[in-house]
Amino acid sequence: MGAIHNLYRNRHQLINGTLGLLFVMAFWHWADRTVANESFFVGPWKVLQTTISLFATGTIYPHLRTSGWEFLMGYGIAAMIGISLGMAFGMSKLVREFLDPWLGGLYATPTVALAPLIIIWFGIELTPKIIIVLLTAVIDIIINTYTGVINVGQEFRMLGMAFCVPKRQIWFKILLPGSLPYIVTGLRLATSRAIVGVVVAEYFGSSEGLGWLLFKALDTYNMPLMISCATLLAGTGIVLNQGILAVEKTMAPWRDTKLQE
Amino acid sequence: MQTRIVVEEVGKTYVKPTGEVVQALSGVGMTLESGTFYSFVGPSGCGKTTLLHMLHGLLSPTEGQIFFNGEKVTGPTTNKALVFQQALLLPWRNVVDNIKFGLENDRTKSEPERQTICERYIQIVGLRGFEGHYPHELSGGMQQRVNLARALAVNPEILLMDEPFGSLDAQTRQLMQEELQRMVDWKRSGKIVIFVTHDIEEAVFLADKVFVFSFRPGRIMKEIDIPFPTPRSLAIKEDPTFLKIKHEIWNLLAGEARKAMAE
Amino acid sequence: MRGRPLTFLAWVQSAYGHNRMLIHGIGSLAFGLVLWEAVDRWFSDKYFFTGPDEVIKELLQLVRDGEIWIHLRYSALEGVYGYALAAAAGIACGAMLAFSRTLDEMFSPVLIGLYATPRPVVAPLFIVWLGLGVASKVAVIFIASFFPVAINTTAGIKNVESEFRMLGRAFNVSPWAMFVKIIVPGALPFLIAGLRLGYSRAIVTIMVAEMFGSEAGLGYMIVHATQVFDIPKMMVGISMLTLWGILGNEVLKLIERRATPYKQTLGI
Ligand SMILES: Nc1ncnc2c1ncn2[C@@H]1O[C@H](COP(=O)(O)OP(=O)(O)OP(=O)(O)O)[C@@H](O)[C@H]1O
Ligand SMILES: [Mg+2]
Repeated sequence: MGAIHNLYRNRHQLINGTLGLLFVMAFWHWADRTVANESFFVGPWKVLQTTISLFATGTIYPHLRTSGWEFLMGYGIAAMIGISLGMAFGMSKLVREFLDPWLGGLYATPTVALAPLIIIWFGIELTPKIIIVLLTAVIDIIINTYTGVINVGQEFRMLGMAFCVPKRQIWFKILLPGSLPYIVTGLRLATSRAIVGVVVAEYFGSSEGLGWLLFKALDTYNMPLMISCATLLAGTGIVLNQGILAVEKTMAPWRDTKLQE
Repeated sequence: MQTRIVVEEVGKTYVKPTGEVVQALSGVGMTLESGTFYSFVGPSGCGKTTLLHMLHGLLSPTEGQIFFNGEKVTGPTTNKALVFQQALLLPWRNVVDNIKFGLENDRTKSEPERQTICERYIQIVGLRGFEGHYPHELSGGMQQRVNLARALAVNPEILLMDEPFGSLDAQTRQLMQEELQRMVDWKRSGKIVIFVTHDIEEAVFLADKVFVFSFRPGRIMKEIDIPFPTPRSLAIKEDPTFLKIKHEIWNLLAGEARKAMAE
Repeated sequence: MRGRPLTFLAWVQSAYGHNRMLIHGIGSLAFGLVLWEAVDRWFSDKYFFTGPDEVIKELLQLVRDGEIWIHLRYSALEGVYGYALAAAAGIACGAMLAFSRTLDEMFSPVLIGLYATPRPVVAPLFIVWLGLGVASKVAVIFIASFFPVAINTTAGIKNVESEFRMLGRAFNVSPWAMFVKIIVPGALPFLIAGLRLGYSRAIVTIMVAEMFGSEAGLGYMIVHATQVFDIPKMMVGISMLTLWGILGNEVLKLIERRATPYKQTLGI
């Protein structure tokens, strides 16, 4: 009975979800028809065509490679630094009290605004871009990890103490798995931030990359290319998010995933 | 292997972050001998959990001292195990791995030995077939049984239990009371068992000695020796002596409960 | 039992506990400023790095000749309109989705998908559509902030609904009372979290959107200063945006503490 109900519910969800997507597409298409001016607005079909031709002619690959590398390096380092710092924040009162004002400030700072400075300091090579991506992505990861460690709760630490778990193992056995859901949320939030970081970094000094392509499209009023780039960037965000979710699902089967998102 | 815990004039005062002061316990003294089962009963909030945590070494007393075999208790050790009042299972570990949590810190045992021990206790607490379940897939009573098995698996010299049967149904509870005597067998193994409960009948049924606590700040109002030989069968719950003791404790606590409600 | 007076030691401890945080906070901020100045002295190259003193000098200069006001006003206008519209629309749409299962199933996947995207990258499109003025930036800021608010509102309402619907039924609570006594207070922490997230996105987007093309504004000022290597001016722009970020965040934190005193909050 429950299974049948679930199936029904899932089907319902699928149908309605598809309807919603179709609705959005139809609206987009309708807007395109109404505007009917290709240098001003393009419909989904034209965007698809442009994107396919970008891949077919191979022009997109160098840009993908450049941006992808910037993203991977920046985001990867951000993940490492963010998780360790977040853990340190959650565990050490001294670190917390000393660095908290800066964390609060950094949380509220639009770190992308630092991009031009960083470009001036480090030149227009890969390093400054990695730093920019790192800076835009790291905050979400720190803050979520920190929240996670705090939320693991005193009582679980007490459990560790009661069974004489050595200090170092409390880390791996309790704090890390306990804060995993939060860390994952932080990693997910950070993906889209890091992509914005890539775009901004490429604006201030680059001759390649998806962000750079976006600017070039704006400069030359190439609307199809512009929307195509934006869609690619957006699509990357969606794919990465879903990917992280999927990894979490297989890695953390204990989670009651009803209330996610 | 004669172990002994001496509690000397122990008191505990909490200072909340707001500065408010709560005196939970005061002037508690007792001597606990090996091979004996002790029950603590007392009104809610009289400091039973606090005392248990101090005996374990998780908390330190603000007044007085606790000695284990002549040495002052300063922190948790592996020869003591605690059954928490809330089950406190790690949500990311399944039943087996939760039970293994305490055992993992025993370096003298190999992994296969640990596995065997876990399986035995899973059998004992009646969770066969649920080994791979995660806590959110268990009922409250099942979680509590995992909590119990986790502590028993360590095979401690001192077993501290904080209302371990609190969320079991009445039938299972009765069975577990009988079962506990067999599982722990404190007479033969020389363990000290301390059992906190709100159920007077349960306290009398299991214990060699019952400590009755007063309302906050908790003090020992009375120590009552229970004369029945162990192991006991459920039939003794109808015995006139049993009923007499039960009523005596009930009357002691009724006055305290009234005080608690009046506050 | 509660009447026992506070011991002196306890008082000192609690007073120290409170001031300890303040002392550490001030100490850490002072340490940062000193570090900044020290690095500046060490570089001693005006075109490369700027200490706090030069930034303040530059700020006073910009105040005197009035240039800063133009940028502040411009960016503020964009930010306020964009964020206010996003907050209002986000709460309304989020609530609609939470209360209608069909709408939820239809549009939540789209919303969640778009939430995962780097939304400020649509800025160039809006600049083409709406021009270099305020309107295009308002639109981009709206898009950046709308999603976190909407998604958190939906999640908050659905969360309390599923948890406390039974409780409400059990006590025969009327739908209106259910809304006022359970849904609003229950969803509030999520809602405020969404508003805070949306705010931080709005500030970032002011910068990014103006970068793509604008007539004035702090982001515009930063980009132009970069092009002529005017580092002090850049730093003024960055500091201003940061200040907005911190101030807005503090205000929202205050609201959060007032509205949900029972929630454990971190310093951030
Ligand atoms: N961390 C704490 N801070 C302040 N007060 C506390 C703290 N822990 C316990 N108390 C107070 O100490 C008293 C005793 O608490 P304790 O948990 O030991 O009671 P208990 O006898 O186990 O009650 P119950 O039977 O309801 O479990 C209570 O009044 C409680 O409010
Ligand atoms: Mg208790």
